[in-house]
Amino acid sequence: MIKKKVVMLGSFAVGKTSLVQQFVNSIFSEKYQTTIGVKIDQKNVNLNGQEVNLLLWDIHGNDDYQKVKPAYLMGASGCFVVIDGTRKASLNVANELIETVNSTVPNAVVLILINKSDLKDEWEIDTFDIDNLKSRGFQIIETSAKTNTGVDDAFTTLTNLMLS
Amino acid sequence: MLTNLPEEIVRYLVEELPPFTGLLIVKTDEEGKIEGYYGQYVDYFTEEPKTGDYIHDYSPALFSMVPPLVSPMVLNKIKSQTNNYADIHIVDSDSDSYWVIFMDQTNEVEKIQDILQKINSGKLKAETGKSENNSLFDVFSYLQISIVGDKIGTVVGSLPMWFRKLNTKINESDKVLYTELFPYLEVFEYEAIEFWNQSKNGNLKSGIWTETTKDGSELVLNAYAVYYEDEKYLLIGEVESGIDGAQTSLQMARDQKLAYEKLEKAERKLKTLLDYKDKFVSIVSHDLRSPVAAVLGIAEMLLNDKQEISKLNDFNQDMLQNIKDEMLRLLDYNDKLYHWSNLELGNFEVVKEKNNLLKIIETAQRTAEQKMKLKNIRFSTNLKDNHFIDVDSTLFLQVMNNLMGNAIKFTPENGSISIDVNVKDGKTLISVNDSGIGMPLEVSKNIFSGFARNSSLGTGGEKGTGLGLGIVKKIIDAHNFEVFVESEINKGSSFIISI
Ligand SMILES: Nc1nc2c(ncn2[C@@H]2O[C@H](COP(=O)(O)OP(=O)(O)OP(=O)(O)O)[C@@H](O)[C@H]2O)c(=O)[nH]1
Ligand SMILES: [Mg+2]
Repeated sequence: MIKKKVVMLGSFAVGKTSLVQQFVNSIFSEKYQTTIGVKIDQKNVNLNGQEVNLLLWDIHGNDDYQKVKPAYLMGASGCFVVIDGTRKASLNVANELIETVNSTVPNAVVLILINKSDLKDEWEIDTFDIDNLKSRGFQIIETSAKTNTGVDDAFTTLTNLMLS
Repeated sequence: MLTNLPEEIVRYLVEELPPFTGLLIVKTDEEGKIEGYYGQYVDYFTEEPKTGDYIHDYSPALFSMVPPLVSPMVLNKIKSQTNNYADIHIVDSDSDSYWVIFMDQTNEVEKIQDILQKINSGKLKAETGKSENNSLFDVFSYLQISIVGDKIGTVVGSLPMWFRKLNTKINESDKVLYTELFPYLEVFEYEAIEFWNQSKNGNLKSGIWTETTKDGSELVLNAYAVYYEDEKYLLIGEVESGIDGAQTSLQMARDQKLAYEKLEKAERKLKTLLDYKDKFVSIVSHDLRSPVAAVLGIAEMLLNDKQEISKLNDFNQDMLQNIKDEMLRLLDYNDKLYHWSNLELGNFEVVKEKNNLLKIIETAQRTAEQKMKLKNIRFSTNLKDNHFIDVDSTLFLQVMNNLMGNAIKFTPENGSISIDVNVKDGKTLISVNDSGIGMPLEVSKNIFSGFARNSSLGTGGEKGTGLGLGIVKKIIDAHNFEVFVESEINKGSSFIISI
């Protein structure tokens, strides 16, 4: 079976853990429990008859308290860079992390997720920001770990990109 | 007991120390006088630390260095009152507080040294065939893997309790691909191989990671790469204590940050709404000006036309005069609104230039002359000579006009108004004084907020907008000057500008 390492990156509280938990265990918790170290989950996905084993690295949020170590990225074929649609500041962190990805694992596929789409009314990330990311060649998927919207799509899309 | 740790300390804790074991943080002042503590004191102190006591009374090792505390500083393996060993970190924060952090060292390092010794003696015994080496390791909570090749090791000793909770088929003495067992180790392996290849006795610690057990609970683990007498080992253990401390302080810090971000967001939203309001007011007052001015013009034209006006009876003539007065007032109000909303929006620029204060005062006096005459108010100023100040002449004249207008409004007939200029400590103080009705403290406190005075009537029944002083304050702020008011009921008020 093909094995692929996927890393969840993003500012704190953007929903990295929630996205993985929704995808792997179909659960969602309103309570925010920050991730301290690294948590690795696995899930097999079947793409056009091909079974792929995803190793999902859920890393603590990147902020002044905990910086993501580039070593965590080694061997990664794909990276989700997660932005919290309701928090503009998480976009800046995402940009920093994209830099880290480019310099550490330049061949890894990057897919940007704008999470918390169930809270669209409170979004601070606007079409201008999204168009800007698109113009830089990034693929973007809007997700909600809470309502399980776009989550499967996100993982399938990334897997497809990693395989092609 | 402290509940909040400052950001720098949380950062220090997370960056420098995890995993924490037996964390105790004592907050002191520079002299070492205790202000509070956080965590478990019983590991190190025989008594609860009391506010006001000195830290060195609880930890004599610090005695030699107080006062004052030296920071940053780490004292290693200090024996405490309770005979535990601790690393003591001293950190100071922006707020002039000192943080003395105790970390348990009785465990980690010694445990590993212990293991190394037992591994060694076990090997000896195994070699002499006198004992099964397994029994030697039962007491340990570490999964011990003896490295035999690239990513491959053999489990030595018995399996620790925590390992049995994981969903794995690995047994004692099995060969394992350890990076498959714990994918996290793929990252640590890079460093571990480098370390093993140095062939020096010692150990290297990995970062922490989390595994899920069969029953769905979480295990926090860390690993040590060990080199001992030509053998390479990987010891994997549960991070028991300490992780809660790190979790709690980090959680607290991030919850706080989230709340702060929310507040900022609300503020931004509010600012946008306020800007909308100001833009609205600005547009409406701008567009209202022409029709109002037109009506005023017509009323004035009629009043000035002797022939036409004589056709009206007295009552109607009065009415026409009223129309003109009220329109004048409306125009004034409208202009102020327009001006005020643009000041709020920041739609103006202060161009400071050398200006003669004497000229400005004379101009303000001339503008106010008509109104002063109506109430028979006397005007004086102590400024006789040229005096230059750096101001935006248009805006500053507006300030003086507003202050004069305000003074006239609240000064009864036959009163007096003066503008005095004094230079003190290099500052020019301009005070606009009146012999008016004054105001109570509650009023003077909020006088500059715009709409403040609920537009109370003047002594001659003058109606006001309440905006004038708001405009004054905005302009003065934009100049980086100060304005304040001194007032006494029935004696009068002074508005003082300090440049
Ligand atoms: N409304 C809404 N809330 C979400 C969504 N995803 C996550 N959350 C909430 O956001 C908070 C943070 O979620 P986590 O998944 O813990 O975020 P994280 O990125 O793993 O955070 P760190 O581990 O601290 O970096 C939690 O309170 C979640 O319940 C979403 O799609 N919609
Ligand atoms: Mg998380």
